[in-house]
Amino acid sequence: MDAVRLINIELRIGSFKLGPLSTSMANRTYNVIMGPTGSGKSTLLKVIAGAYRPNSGSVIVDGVDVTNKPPELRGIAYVPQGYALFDHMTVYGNIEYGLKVRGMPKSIRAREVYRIAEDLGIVNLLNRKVNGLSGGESQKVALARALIVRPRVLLLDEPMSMMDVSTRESLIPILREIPRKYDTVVIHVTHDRDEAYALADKVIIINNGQLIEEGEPEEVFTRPKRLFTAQFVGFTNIIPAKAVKTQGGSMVHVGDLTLHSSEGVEGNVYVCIRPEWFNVTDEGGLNVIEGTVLDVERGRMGYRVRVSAGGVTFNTVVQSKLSSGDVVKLSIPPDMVHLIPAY
Amino acid sequence: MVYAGELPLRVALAVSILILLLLIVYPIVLLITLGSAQLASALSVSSFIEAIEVTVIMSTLSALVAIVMGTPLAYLLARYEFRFKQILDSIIDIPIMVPHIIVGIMIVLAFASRYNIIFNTLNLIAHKLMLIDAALSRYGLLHALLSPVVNALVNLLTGITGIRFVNTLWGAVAAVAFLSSTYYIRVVEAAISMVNPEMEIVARTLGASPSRVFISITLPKVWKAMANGALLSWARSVSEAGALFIVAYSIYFNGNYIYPASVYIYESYVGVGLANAVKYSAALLIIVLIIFVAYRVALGIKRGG
Repeated sequence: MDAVRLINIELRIGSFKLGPLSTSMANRTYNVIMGPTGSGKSTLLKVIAGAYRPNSGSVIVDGVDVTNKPPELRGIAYVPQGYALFDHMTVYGNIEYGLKVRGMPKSIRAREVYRIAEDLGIVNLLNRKVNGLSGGESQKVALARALIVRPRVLLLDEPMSMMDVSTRESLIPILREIPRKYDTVVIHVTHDRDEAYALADKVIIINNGQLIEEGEPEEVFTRPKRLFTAQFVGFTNIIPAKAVKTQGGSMVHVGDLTLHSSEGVEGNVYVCIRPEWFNVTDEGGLNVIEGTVLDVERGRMGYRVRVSAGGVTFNTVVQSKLSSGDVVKLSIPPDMVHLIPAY
Repeated sequence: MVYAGELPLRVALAVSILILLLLIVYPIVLLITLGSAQLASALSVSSFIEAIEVTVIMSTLSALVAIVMGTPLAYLLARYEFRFKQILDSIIDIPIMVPHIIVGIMIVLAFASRYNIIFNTLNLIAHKLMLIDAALSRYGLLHALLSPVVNALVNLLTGITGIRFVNTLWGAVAAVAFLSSTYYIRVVEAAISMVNPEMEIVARTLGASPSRVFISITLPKVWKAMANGALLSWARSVSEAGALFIVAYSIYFNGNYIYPASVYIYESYVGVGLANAVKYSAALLIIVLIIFVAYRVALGIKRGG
């Protein structure tokens, strides 16, 4: 049974409309809701938390309809963007809060606080005021404060947006193990595709308040079903074309070029290729494109090169340094020419 | 951007400090210098002490009204967007704009005239209840059962409509509360809007009820502002004269008619003369300042609260 089910959630705030939106998430999984700024992903999180009541639809947690329950009776913990640590309390006071309002005896509270602080490596912070903690420390305190109540669902709103890259990378394994270690469902909202790809068991793409696509990250990041998804997850080559089915796939005409895809599609399509899927080659053959380098830009993953070939501009990432004007041959395996039917 | 020490800033500052000295510092210093020598003499006048007592009681009750009425409103205004927010906002600002004499007239009209719709209605209900009671007297047992309830209700209603507003503490508090609550609401609203609403949501998800969230999260962050706002509205009430001229020129209290402090000083000025008024003004000012400072020290309120 799915631990969290959203059924036809609909919410209007001013002119913005979220939903109708349905999805579900299994226990002990890490779910990432990804979408651009203003897509409604944080709003959706607040609906699940109970901060907003949807105009219609239901939020089901472990088979129980919690739509009309107040936040304190949902078994859902929430870490907002910026963490909202209680800055009039110490780190200890923050972590203890959820147990204190439940009326747990002091000795049990102390034991639990130490246990979770040890888990997250923040025992040394317990007596500190929360002002002055670093981004990574604040994040861990917020996680400890949320996890100590053993929530059925943990909501994380852009948890890494206020961190530098190295802190971010060190936190990924900690976040990754939360669902299984704490027997919970994590729902993480972000606009960062690297973050989503690194963490997710399931990715949910939303835009303009609508669910666009959902699935396993490998699927969504390499075989998106929708044009918006392809754009959003980093397909920088999206080219309208016409496809003709062939044996074992299809043939697409892109500008003056012909590419083969292992996907059998007929009619108008978008040819979608991730820039890092191209290889520089010396040989000719199937799916080899010969073109001229337009410009080169340094990037983290290699040189970002724009190549003009057959009246089409391709974006690639290569490891060898090229200069504009160079003639280059790029090859792309047929199973990496992804086609999305155009409607 | 003007840098500190640049000529235009210096000139502007010089002008503003001059006006500040002339308009605010100089009169205060003069009053206190002249009046402080006579402080003992002023404080030995029992009618003046009574005036201060009744003024402090009136102002404190009015500050309590501001807290009870103002805190939920301040929360509402700070936290939510709703359809008639602008209207509510304007209503809260009305007391600052209405001349105080008119506020006095309105309080008399609303609570102490034949146009007092609320009391008239309550009286009418009491009258009807008495008629019902009379009609019931034919039915022995029913009458015996219901009559005490009906009588209690009638007594309650006539008790309420028996409250007098002119020259009583009730009227005085109503008038000064009308005028001073705004200050409390604005101060507290500003403080609440500085508290991150996400903290309240987090606390709710962690299991706290709304009232628990207010007490454990919001209140610790705004109580100083609440205390500060209450003090401001208290001070505003102490200084009120205009509305009191109409509603409670003298207040019936403890079997005597006692002037509120501001009226007392007005009387002494009109009746005896400037020197006399200076004596009492300085005494009142010193007492209010002492209370102000003591209160702030006790609560540890720093500038800006």
